[in-house]
Amino acid sequence: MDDQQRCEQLYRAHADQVHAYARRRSDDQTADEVVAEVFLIAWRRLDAIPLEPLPWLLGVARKALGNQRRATSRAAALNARIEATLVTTTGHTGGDHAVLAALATLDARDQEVLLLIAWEGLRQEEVGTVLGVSRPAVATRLHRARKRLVEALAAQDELALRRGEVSR
Amino acid sequence: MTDELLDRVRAVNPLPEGSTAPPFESVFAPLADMPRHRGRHRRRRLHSLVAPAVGVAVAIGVMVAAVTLLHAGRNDSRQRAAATGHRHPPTATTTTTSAPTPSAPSGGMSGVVTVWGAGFSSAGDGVISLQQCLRCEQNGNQTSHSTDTEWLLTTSNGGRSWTRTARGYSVQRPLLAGRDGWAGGLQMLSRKQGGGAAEWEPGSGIARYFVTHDGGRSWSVAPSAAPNEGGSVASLVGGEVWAVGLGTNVAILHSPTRGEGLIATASQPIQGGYTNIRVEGAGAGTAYVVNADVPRQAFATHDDGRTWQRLTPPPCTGKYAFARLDAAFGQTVWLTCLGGNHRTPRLVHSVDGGRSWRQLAVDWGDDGPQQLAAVNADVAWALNGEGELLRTTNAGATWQPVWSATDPRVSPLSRPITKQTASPLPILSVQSANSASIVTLLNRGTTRRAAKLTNLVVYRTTNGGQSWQAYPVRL
Repeated sequence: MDDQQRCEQLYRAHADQVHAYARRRSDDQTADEVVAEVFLIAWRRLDAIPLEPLPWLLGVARKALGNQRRATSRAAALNARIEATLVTTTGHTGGDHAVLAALATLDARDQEVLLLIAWEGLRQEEVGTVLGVSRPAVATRLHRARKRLVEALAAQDELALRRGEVSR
Repeated sequence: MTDELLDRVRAVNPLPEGSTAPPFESVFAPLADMPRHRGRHRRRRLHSLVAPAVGVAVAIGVMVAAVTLLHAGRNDSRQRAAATGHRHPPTATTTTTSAPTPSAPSGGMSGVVTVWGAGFSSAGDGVISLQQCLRCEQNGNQTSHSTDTEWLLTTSNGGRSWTRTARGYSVQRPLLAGRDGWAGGLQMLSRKQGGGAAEWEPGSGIARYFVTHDGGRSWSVAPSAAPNEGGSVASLVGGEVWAVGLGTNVAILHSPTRGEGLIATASQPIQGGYTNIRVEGAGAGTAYVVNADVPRQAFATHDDGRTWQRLTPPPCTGKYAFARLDAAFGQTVWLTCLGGNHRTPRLVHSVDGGRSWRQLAVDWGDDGPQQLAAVNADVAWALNGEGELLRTTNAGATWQPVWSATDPRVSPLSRPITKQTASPLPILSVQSANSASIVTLLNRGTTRRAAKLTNLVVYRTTNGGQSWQAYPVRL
């Protein structure tokens, strides 16, 4: 198998997962750009890709997303602020608002660990590869994130009860 | 790992249905001619690529270095060095600082502070719009407990003294011309329950256009043919206002006289719900538009928007596409085109309204110039991605570094702001060929979620960047 075929196989096996990772954290156009950037880097560094490539690819995607955000942070913040007042969000609207609100109270590192496991379906050691930290560090963060999420959910539930939105 | 807690998190997965990666061919077709194993992409510094061959340039560089050593203290070494294609920022003894060297103000504003925009007039009026978010995440994300306060800082003496007022609106990218000014912004609607009079529910603002007639001290909602529309971008040249209305469908808006009504132009260059469109007015009914969403296109009008002509700069075709409309002045227009996949951005320039184009032989790093302001056909100021301010007086052929918050050889501060304490990118406001102002955040200490305290430093030059006044602003 030559490099071109290997790259194509890698793309067909994992591009959707990389795209899903980026799309959950950005808009569709940015997700497309992140996919292109991730597989460009993969193409250049085929020999460096481990046997289990997904965590490595997601790690590259994470950095690419970070670069995109830094490059456009001010303009994006301005536009997002304006557009939020004008455009009706078509994304997730139903479901568990308490969970969304509780997740929003966690700091970024706690969120990342939880979401890599819950949304991307990664194991703890794979999360470590994505984040560039050891498995014990992932375990520690996960434990802390779960604890904080439970506390935040309790606070959300209490808030909802006070508003009379929930009767249990 | 399966448990109820993670199941609840899985259930709020926001991935839209049918969301998939682009086809393999569309991503890899451009790679056919790309070299492999190029290593880590090198962050390039801007350097002028003027004509001399490498050997000649080195020789001149050596001569300049010798001259600089012999004449330490002469203030023109910076310009001469840059003009030869080499960056030799002046030593500390060559930096002319007519202002008292500022020290960091004590105290400061707590919470996450975001500067939305800053505008200055030649007469010395100035306005800075900033938001203080308490209990926000460090990246500015709002939580259910967070509170917004919108602050307006105003000066009438070029920045020596400032007045801070909490407002029920937020102007973003204010533009001043004399005592008059325009801005896009948000009008706050919902006060925070249990909060003070100036504390607002995050996200409770609606978009509006605002005008001022007192140099930015107070702003009122501008009349518009579409009163419920607002936008984030406007340009103000000679009393002519151009704006992008971000309603159901994006529209280019224009106020052809000093009147305050913004109306959609007679024809629109592009139809659809695009949001990444920028317009820049250039005076006398001329304006330029770039749509950085697909289809990426650029247009010009010279008749108040009645007709639009497609712009097709050759450097922006093929694997390059329009990314940004940087600046416009009369028949002069500057655009940035990006090629993706780490191709060097191309800054292109026309002095005849877009009929002919020149690609500037400069390397602006990965993202191109971040803020560029042109004041005539020859003079322009630009901030690069590293927060350095550069100035050209020959239509972009060469650029001289004139300011940097983090470079002790260029900064007027005796103790320069470090990258850890300065905001990522300053905000540039240009008043003329020789006058410009820069606003930077000055953070002190960090907590887990945000800087502990934030202040501002405002820099001002009136001699083309040869010397700077630096004014600390305690928040």
